[in-house]
Amino acid sequence: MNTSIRINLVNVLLVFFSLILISLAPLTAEAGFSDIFGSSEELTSLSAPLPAIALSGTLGASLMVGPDSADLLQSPVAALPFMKLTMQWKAGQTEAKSLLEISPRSMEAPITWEDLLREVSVRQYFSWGHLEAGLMIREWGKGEGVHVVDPLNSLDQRYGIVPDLNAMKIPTMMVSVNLQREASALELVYLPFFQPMKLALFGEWAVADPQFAALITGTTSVENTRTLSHGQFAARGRTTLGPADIGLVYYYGFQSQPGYEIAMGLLSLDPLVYGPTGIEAILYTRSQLFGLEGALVLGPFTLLWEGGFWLSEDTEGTDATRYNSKVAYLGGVEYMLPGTSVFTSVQWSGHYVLGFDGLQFPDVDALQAYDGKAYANMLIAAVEIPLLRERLNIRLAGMYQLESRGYALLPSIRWSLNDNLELELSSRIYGAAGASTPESIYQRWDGNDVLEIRMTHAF
Amino acid sequence: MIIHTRKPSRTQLATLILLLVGMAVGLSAAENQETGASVMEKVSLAQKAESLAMDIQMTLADGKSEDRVRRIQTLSLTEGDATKTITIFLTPASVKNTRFLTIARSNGNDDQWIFLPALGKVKRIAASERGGSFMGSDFTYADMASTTYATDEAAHTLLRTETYQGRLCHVIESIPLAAKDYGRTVTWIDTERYVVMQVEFYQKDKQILQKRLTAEDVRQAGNRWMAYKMTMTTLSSGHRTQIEILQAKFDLTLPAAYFTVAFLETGRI
Repeated sequence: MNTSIRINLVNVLLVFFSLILISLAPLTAEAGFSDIFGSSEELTSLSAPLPAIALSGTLGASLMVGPDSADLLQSPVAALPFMKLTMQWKAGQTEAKSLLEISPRSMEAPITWEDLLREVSVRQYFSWGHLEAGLMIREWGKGEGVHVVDPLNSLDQRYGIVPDLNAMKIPTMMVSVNLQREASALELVYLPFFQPMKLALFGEWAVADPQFAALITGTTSVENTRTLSHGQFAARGRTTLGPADIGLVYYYGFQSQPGYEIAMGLLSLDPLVYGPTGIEAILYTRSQLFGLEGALVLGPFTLLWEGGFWLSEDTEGTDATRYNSKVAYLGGVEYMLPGTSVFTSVQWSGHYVLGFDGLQFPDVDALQAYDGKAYANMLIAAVEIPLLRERLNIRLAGMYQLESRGYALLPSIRWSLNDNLELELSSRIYGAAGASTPESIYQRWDGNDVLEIRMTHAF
Repeated sequence: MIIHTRKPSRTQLATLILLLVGMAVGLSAAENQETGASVMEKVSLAQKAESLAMDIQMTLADGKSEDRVRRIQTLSLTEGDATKTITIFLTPASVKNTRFLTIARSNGNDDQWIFLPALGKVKRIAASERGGSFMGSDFTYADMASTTYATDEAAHTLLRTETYQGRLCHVIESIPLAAKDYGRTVTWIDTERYVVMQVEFYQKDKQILQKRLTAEDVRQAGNRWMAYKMTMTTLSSGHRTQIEILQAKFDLTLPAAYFTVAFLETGRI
């Protein structure tokens, strides 16, 4: 990683977009019911026209420290600026939007254009709904960040787990048609090619054993997912029934995690030492997802649920390179403490692989399973405590893997210096409750704890 | 997301509208042999509007640090037993374009959704807690409940008539019939315009004054008298919140499409 080059690139981009900001600043404006109240600028200048372009976003600086418990002064530091810039154009029934993001996370090499351009889309409104096309991130499902019926964007897991799970999604090209009628909506989506998840095979955020990752060599073929044959289709219908919002989801595409064609052979002259000698191919499993989602308000509680059945192309579960069918589920509850603005959320998410009995390495389902189990479950909890009239916000969040006992803790404290300037101290702490065997991913990341101080200006 | 749980507010915004109208609006009326209940009934009548649009600026001040300003626009439409309210947050930037949709029904089965622009997602949420602060201000949902003017929800007593800010006012003590966050309120109501000029909120012991709401800039809007500025002060901390009504429009024709989840998602009708 060449830090000087990265910082120079950031500087150039910051100057460039600062100039854009300055040049377009008079065009920015607030939204609102301008047809009823007029443009908000009219309050101070009655002649101000309704703007065509709106700019918004955040910029600031981040200092990240990876604490070295042996010698704190030797702790590695990354100090970088960051910026998010959203530009929206509105002209009649047409809207266009772009979201540029430069953040410390995405400045890690190798940079892809999806790391910088988080959205470039155009939307046309009709009397029946709207048509939208472009590079987009969309969230399906009623869960808080974690979903099991959210197949449109794969996750970028090259840098561990970040507090904003939506920020881990990889923007993907898609076309969607949204039909809306009263309290119901139907969304139809076509994705022209498949964007699989991004994983770190080596380095501090590696998700695989280094010995396994070493099997991937220059001779390993990787399935080209940017072909028409990798097009996907998805549909989601939603409606409101009394105190509940419910929805159905269908997706015809791929499971986002890679499968492996692993060559097995003798590892030495000893005929008993038999194992993987290489990975011949990385490929993806075509699957269909049949899902449902819902949210139900019961007094001060909001109950959330999602359920999905992934029907794999490997219906018999006999192809070691393809993932089996599986059931995925999520349930949760949100609650605000009476008399306060303290918000709590608890969710339970998991999956169960069908036809798992008897599977063993090198079947990919056995490879991905923890400790030979067909299932995996995770608890996710978050508490947010606003204090001092929302000037100070304390957030405690975490994930706990029930089988491996691995955990990720994501605490943070945000202090609003004024309405648009915020100072945040946050941390990411990984580990396992006790020494789990085999090692969980979070335990593998145990040495990757991060402390971050961030100052953010919103505009 | 799990981890990004902050909501700008979960306050029942429909009630905010009722509060603002209740505080701000009054109709001219002759002073007869009034009782506490009859005065409150007249104030309640003055609140009635089939539809309402308000552009509001809220300023939070603690006297030490920089004032914080929140700007919201809200539309309200009453159809049958349901009052639908859509609210857009305009400032600060951190909550800009957050939208709330509330459908408040007379039977208490309220529905509420929030659109979070950062996620591009609509979430269904439970009706807010009455004690929660509205956007960090001195106004709470409980404040609104305890300033109710319905004669069947509180015992109203006309304490006296006196001059307040140059206007002759009825002074009404209201004691909620059901347990509320406040033991009692005392309200100053203009005897001619039926505009609420001041409210004192007492703690549950009915003795200790906790907050004071004062009205200013009373002007006529059409056939209604209205206070365009209101300030709520928490006496223990000195923190205060001023609400300034930048625009208010009554009984205008509002398209029903505003009050839908589809509008919440797109901001378009």
